[in-house]
Amino acid sequence: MLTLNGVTAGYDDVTCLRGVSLEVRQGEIVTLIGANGAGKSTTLRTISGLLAPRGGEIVFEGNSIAGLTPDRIVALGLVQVPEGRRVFPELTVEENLRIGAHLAPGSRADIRNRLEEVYGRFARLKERRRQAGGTLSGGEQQMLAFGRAMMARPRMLMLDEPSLGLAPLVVTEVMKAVRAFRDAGITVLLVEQNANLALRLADRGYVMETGVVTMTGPAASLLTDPHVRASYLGAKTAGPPARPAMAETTGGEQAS
Amino acid sequence: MLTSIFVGGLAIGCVYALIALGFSMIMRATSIIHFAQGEVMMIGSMSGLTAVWLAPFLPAPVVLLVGMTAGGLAAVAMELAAYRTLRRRGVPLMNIITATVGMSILCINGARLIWGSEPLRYPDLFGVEPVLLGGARVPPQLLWIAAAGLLLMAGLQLFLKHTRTGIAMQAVAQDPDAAQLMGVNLTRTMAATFGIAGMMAGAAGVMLGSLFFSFFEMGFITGLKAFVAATLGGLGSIVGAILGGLLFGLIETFSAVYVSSAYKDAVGMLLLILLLLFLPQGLVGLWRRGR
Repeated sequence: MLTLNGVTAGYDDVTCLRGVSLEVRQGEIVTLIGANGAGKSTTLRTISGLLAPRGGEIVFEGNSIAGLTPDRIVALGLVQVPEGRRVFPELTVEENLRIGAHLAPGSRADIRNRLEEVYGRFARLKERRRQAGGTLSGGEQQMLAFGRAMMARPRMLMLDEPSLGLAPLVVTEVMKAVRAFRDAGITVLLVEQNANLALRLADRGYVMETGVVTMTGPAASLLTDPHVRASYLGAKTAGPPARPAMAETTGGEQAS
Repeated sequence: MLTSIFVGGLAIGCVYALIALGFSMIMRATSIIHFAQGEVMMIGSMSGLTAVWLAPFLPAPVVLLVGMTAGGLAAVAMELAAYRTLRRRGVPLMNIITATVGMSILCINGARLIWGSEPLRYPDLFGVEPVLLGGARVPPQLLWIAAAGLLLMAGLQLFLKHTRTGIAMQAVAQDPDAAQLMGVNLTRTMAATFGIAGMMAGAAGVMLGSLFFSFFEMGFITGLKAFVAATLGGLGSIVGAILGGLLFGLIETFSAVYVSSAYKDAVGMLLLILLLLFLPQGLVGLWRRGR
């Protein structure tokens, strides 16, 4: 569905992506994990067109999207939920959602339908529809960011650190929402620093280090990989996968 | 007496507010302080007047519409021809702002070439018979201008709240990256912002022209005062620009009557400096702090 082939990108004279290749197939949840500054967010920004790639190919459903403006990429059905939610603080919840359907050709009734669909999934948003986006809690803002992206009826979603800065209970809700996306037939590319959480959610994973993909495989096997465990799951030594409980705890702390 | 001063202040306040709105909208969408906004107003004024010359039978609302269209087109042309190109080349913001000053001077000189350097009188668009308002005799154009100005600003609010383009413009002003990720085209929305800001200024031009004169330099000092009004309200805020413009118009008019018409500008500016000393965020700061 989405293929990156040797993508390079950067800001001014700093190169952040040094040839990233990855693939997401229809219906999958694929996660991209790695340390802070490895280039995960830059990869998403490059796919969604906020940053123009310097080289390489990006193909979404047979269309080359490298160098397109973000609105044209959204129009193809590939939508990014940015890091830090980035809801519009001075717009109401409902106006935030309406922006999500900015490119929808639809009538009033069509927009209404989409709104009801989002309210159906996130009931809290309906209660707060007249409230300014900036007054919501972190968890509610994440739901609003999800709902806003759903308004575009995407075929594929890219989620950038959806669990960042949220309480553990809310993180569970976020995970539920991500699973619900997949059940609704939406393909998901998930970027997370909380590797433990991401790998338990995903089908496959890619590990990024300093601008390149260094490892890939089924999520379950990455979860037990000694190197991944040592670097991203908080295991003290790169030993055998002996103490899964420890990884759980660390994941929880990162999320809070 | 008091009533007619108040209506007069309101009318001139509407002129400032309509230009100040443009300053704030453009500032929020592009971070540019658009110093040629006064000249957009002048172009609207001159175009409205030219329309009346060509077709003296035109009713006032149509003249206003001509001014708005001309202002909108002028502002979009500036954005497309100059500012957008500069942004794409990665020119530092301060240099783009300097370019808007250059644009302003260019427009002043261009207008002098087309319309000459003499102040030009607008015909009476709104009649001459004074209207009785609470026992006071108020010139009709003041009432019409105040009414049209308030109506336009209310219309702008509805546009920003309820249309797809309006909401997109607000989104771009609040978070351009997130707006783009929702499918908003940045370039087009910025051009639309310049267009709407230009239309507001164009309307102000027709109003100001019919109150006094139209002449090639009219945009300079009025544009500066509107910028001051926008700052007074809180630069970048729509509500602030409206409040700031109306307040500035009222202060200026009252101080012209009760202090001295020769020094009315000084009174206004003194007030601005005092206000900013105590309320650095402008009038909106007062409201935000209260929340």
